[in-house]
Amino acid sequence: MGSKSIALIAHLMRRAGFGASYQELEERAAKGYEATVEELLDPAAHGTPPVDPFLMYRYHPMNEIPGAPPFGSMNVMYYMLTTKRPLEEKMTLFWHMVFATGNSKIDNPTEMNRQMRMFREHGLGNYRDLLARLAKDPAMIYWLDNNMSHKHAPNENWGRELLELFTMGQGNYTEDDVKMASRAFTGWTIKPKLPRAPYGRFLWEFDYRPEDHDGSEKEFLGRKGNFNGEDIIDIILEEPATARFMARHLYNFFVADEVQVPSWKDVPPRDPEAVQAIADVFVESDFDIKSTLRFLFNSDFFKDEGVWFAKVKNPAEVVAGTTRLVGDFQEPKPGVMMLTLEAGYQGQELINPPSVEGWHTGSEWIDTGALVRRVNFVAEMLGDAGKPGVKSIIDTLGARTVLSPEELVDGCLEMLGAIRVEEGTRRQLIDHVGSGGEVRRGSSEEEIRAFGQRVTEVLQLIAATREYQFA
Amino acid sequence: MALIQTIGERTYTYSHCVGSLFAFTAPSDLVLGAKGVAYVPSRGVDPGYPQGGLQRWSKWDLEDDVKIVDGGSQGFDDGQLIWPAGISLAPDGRVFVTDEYMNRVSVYADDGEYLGKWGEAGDAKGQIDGPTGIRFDAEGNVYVAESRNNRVQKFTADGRRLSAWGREGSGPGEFNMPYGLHIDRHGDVYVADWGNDRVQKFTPGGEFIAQFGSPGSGTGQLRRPTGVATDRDGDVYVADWGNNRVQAYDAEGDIITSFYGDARELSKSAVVFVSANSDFVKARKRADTSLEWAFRRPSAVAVNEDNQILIIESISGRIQVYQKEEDYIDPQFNL
Repeated sequence: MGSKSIALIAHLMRRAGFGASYQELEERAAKGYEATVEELLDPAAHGTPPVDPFLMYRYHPMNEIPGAPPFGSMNVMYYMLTTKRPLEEKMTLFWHMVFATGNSKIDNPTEMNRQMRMFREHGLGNYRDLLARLAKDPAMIYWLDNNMSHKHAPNENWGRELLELFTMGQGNYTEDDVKMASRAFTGWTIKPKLPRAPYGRFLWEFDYRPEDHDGSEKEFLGRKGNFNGEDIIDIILEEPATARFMARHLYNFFVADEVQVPSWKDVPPRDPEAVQAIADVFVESDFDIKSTLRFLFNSDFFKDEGVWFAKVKNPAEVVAGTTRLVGDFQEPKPGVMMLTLEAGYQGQELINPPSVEGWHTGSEWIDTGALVRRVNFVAEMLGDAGKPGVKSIIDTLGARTVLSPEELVDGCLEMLGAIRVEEGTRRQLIDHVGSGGEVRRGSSEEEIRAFGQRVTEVLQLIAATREYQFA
Repeated sequence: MALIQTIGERTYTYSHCVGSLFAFTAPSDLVLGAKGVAYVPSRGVDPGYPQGGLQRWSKWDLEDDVKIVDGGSQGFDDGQLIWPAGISLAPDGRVFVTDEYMNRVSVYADDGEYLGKWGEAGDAKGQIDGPTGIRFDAEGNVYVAESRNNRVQKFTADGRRLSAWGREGSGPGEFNMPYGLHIDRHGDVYVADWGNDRVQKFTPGGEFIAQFGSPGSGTGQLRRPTGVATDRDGDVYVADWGNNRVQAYDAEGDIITSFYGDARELSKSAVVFVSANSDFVKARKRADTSLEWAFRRPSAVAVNEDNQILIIESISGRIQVYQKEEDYIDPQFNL
């Protein structure tokens, strides 16, 4: 298997998944790049089973109807750790980051997890359908106050964010359009909620109240009519700005870091042609997300080595990706809570983004505290020779009798998912290994243990490199 | 679901409920002790939860709906619990709790004091891996189901192995992650064969007798059953955890009926909570409280000496109680 094809598959898996072990990369490379893309896009058609929720609930019963944060977000982390359908989960995270809804206000992790399930089940489907579901999602209705929006007193929160953050982006609509969209969604509310005690959380329910809906004529984005919410979504999708805005989101999430979303109206895309090409496919496919991603992953701009390691991993990727890499949580076990908290400590408390704008991404994931936290977390995981994935790396490298320092460093980089580091960094790693003398597995228990320590030491040093923090 | 169900010659009436979210936290089993007392292990929250894990077992006063005492706490040390699964009372009153993660059986006095443990992790004879259901027989020996070894082992009360049966599979006498276990008045052993969506019945020596249920959500079918109990007439009640119901079978395995939960009234402890919180009272007046009636993940069943069927729910932390009536006669109305 050529290392170039493995490196390309590794790039794909870092973006369309949470990374992959070297063994998985070899298996996927043997199947081929396009075949891997198809498998990721349509796991059900390829016989890849979903996460078994009953297995999760058996061992983590509080994941089903969680009462409070932080264990409310364990459900999401469990999926990221155990899924065999990584793109499905990556899209769940994508929509969570775009349609950012926060438990800080919802105060019902069970309802938030239902929203995440909706993203999981429909996130690779049709954008129009997803928007319609989102508009009826009880958590979103409560988050953006649409339950407070009435026929004679519309609340503009949902109408504004629908246009500004979920579809078109700033600069493509007027304040009057916000008002009209808000009027069109009046009457879209939720039924009275059952309290969280004494028997735990119950799901909320969407409720359409025609008597509280403003059915009068509205002028929205140049069209006139007695619009209801569905009409507003249809009109928004007729606007070219919508496809371009979502294309830029897809580029930002899957291809390369862009500036923060509020700057998009002022700063052109990093690769305008690529964004336009994604937008064109999005429109031509009638907003079919799977078709659009198929185009994106198979495009030259995605495969271009210039965008490899051009994205700072978000904390969920760091935590879930590293944990999957070391082969942990292949079977149910305690500890999902700690990993869930870890993502929060690194700056991404799942199901609780800081605002409707979502998390700021790219370099803003990194500050001094978060960087130390990220490096320490990864180093601790990779330094544990008892973890199956680490043991496998040690055994694979130990199959060779003697390793040069170059071979050990390059082997570790490859085993961690075909990571490419700057040549200066590589030389420093090699010099460090060289200063420790010959690298030999040996046969005695002591020699084998010493070899394992040398390997994990290199793995931990790689964890501290700039490149490991990038996808 | 009617509050009174008459099926053939049997009549069940819904009686009342006990407990709440504040009583039990993801309860995984239920056994009855002296009259009006229940013992319940709570699976709690994954380790790392800053406010504590809530793993424990509780001795509960079913009449007054109050806790008598708790035993255990979250942790890896002796006497603590990570994944408590099953609970059983020895003839001398000691409380035995399995821990599916720690691979041990922890022993407590009735007042909650930790007394000791047994069990060594592994798949050899006498070792245990993933202990779940546990029940004492009339002789004072104890049966333990093992979810990862896919077998049932019989031990003395101090953990000395006596016999075993079962292996991984879906044939008679084979298991897939077994959960709850029950011993009827004849000493026959019932195992909730979780991953195979069925309950298997064995002689005390482990000889296969029968199985109840098949995978699905139709009549008589089961989805990931977690608990079993029998009444004095020999009818069998299965916590059909995945389908949110309890299935009742006769001794031959024919389906009698299904219970879905009928808790129209709050339990005593729930009334205490709600009445002390006026905002909750107001919110409950606005909301549709019928959502509360149904079972949410019934995890275990027990039958008391009065032929009451007690069903505990993992999510709602509640026990719903049904009465199997004797000599029930339909009231006559002028229609």
